[in-house]
Amino acid sequence: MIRLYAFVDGLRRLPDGLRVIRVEGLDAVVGEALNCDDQVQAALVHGRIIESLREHAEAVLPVRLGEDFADEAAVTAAVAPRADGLSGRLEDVRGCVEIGVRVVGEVSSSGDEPRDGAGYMRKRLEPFRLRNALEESLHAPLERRAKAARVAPFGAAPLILEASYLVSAGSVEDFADEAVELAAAWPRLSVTCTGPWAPYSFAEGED
Amino acid sequence: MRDDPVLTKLLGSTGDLDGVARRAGGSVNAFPSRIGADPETVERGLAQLVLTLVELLRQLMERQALRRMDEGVLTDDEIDRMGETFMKLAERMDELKAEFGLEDEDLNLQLGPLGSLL
Amino acid sequence: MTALAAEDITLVDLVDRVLNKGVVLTGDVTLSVADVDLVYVGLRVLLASAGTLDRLERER
Repeated sequence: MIRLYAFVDGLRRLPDGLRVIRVEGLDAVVGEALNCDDQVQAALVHGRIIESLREHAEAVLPVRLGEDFADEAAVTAAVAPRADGLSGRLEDVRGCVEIGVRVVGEVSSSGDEPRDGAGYMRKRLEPFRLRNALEESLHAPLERRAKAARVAPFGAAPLILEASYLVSAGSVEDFADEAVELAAAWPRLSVTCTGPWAPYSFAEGED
Repeated sequence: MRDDPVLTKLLGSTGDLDGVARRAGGSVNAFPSRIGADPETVERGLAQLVLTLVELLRQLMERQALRRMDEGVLTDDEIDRMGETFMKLAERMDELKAEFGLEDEDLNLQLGPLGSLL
Repeated sequence: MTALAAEDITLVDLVDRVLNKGVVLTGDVTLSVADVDLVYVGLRVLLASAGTLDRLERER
């Protein structure tokens, strides 16, 4: 099985064991699919390859883990119909990286278990308002600074907000500094900022 | 894993990160695997799919209701009735999850095969 | 915060991205029964619609 890792442009260095297939003007980086029972290990291997490509290419569009094909013809058949869209998105992320921001915290419970519908709604209102406030004071300014942004629509407690930002590779430090500065307004919450990542969250267009 | 360059990517952080990290370490093990092939796991996989959808819709509807409540356009009676419905729905979801041996992480909308769609 | 804690946090971010994000070509959720793949393309459309509905509602 052949595994598809990413689409690239301006690649200066190809990691061992990988090769490039050209499909409709797109460079697709492929290699032998590795069998790995441990999904986390498989993800780490896949991630290492994609991050290496990011460091040595002008543009990279990551492919999700598990896009395996029987042979090169199958890769071409799957990629060709999507080539225009993929080329466009590869262009959109040229010279850019992704920064992830997560906000985690325990939302203070108003004590008692809700005994009626009104009580339940009042209790749910707190995390709802907190999230809205975070979107306004933390996410919105970062979104204005970034080239693009994606926010996960829901958070499963204790995750309150999760977002990814597309920024130019040179502005990573400044962006992270701003995120930490904005986070200072929320001392009771934990805010983490990770990156730079290849633009995984911006590889598929918004529906 | 120590000093793995692909993991030294924490750009900045605030707050109690050791607590966050402990939970993170746990949640990594909860990444659901691709829905399996043998008959025993097919039913569970289907349940996971269906319940994730129901949970998604429930959260969507709840947020719509909270938005309207926050805007002040709901009557007290409407708030109470909606709250009752969401509570009952959440209880029923817990029962169904227990029946199929699914944990919250299995339906975690941030992770799993459906995550990218959101 | 310890170095291990930092690694755990970034591990989640990496694994989440690799497993759930990135270009998808072969379909999203695949249930296989006796080697027959059942691909739920309809599910993708449904969930995308739900996400868009939420976004539109918020931008109202």
